[in-house]
Amino acid sequence: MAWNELADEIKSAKDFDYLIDFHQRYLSSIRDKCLLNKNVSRLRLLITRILDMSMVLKSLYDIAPSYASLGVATKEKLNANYEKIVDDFNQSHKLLTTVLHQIVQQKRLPHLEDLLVKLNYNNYYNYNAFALTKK
Amino acid sequence: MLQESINEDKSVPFTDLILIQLVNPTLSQSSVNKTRVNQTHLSGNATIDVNVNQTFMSSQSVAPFVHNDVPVTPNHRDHDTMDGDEVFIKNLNDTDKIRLSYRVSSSMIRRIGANSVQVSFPLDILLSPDDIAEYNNIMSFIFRIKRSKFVLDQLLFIHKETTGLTELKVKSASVNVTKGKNDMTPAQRDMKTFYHKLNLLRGTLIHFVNNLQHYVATRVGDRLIPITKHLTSCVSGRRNGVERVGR
Repeated sequence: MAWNELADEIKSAKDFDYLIDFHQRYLSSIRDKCLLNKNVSRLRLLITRILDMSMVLKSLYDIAPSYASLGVATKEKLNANYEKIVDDFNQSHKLLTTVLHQIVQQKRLPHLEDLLVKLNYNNYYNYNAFALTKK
Repeated sequence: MLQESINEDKSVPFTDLILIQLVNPTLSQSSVNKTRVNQTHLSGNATIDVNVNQTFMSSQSVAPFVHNDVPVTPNHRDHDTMDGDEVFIKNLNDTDKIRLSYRVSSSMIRRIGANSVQVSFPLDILLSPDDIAEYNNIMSFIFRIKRSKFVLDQLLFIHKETTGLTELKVKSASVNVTKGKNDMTPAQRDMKTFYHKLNLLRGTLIHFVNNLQHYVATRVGDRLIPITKHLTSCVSGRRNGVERVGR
């Protein structure tokens, strides 16, 4: 349900209750696509977790210029932080694609299929999980 | 009573009024002009606000959901608010702007709540407080994606500024990368390895965020972008009527 349909319905609507109902369906379709429904709240949580990793990565970039002058213990701590982010990402990403795959198999949802293909990068992450950790 | 108030202004049909209000609950010609001024002003500053607004969410589509609630870092004296919906960031160098933008975006996401928008008539009939909360949740999600993308994009520039494009400038020990690995000290090699690992992770994260953003832009954005487009046509077609109603 797109904006144009809503605009047309608003113009042609004769009953206000119908208009409210139509707007609710419009809002619901957006909510579904944004993974705001309770039944896919876990997906949303995983996505948020991965998105927040960019902030942690940024803090590592902030420290990186002075990396050469840091002590051994600090370097180990930084590397441990890096490994932790990578592990978190791989686990979250794997769980995300697995859950998405299960949902898509149970019910045909084109938008989630689309998201799965995009995020799984043509099954790259299925076969190459933890690749960064090994390096 | 409702019907009487609707029929008072024949020049603006009730349905059009709802459309206009849906596009921007606080719409008036002056506010639209003000938004344009804000965009022009902010375009000179590398802040998250500009980056958020310029891609698939224009300031017009964002404005209803952050109206009068544009976050300001309270302890930062370089922030000014004008009329409650403008943020000016002045006299800051690039690094400060980037760091400030992280705080602004974080604060923005936190402060987008159900109470941030007051819907005026007649949109308040169509949009319940729960609906506004839903819109805010959607916008919050989109803001979060845009913030992550902005941070990851800026990391490349921070990296380049720090290391230089061809030369690796380190305060502790200056060394030319072009000399090759064998000419580097172990500490410098460690640092290069660390940067390499960070760049790998950055690439992985940016792939995820870019794809997620593309998903939202194609699956959700097509439902939200027309709000902005419709705003222009509504404003140009019904400007006089809207101004009259606004009085």
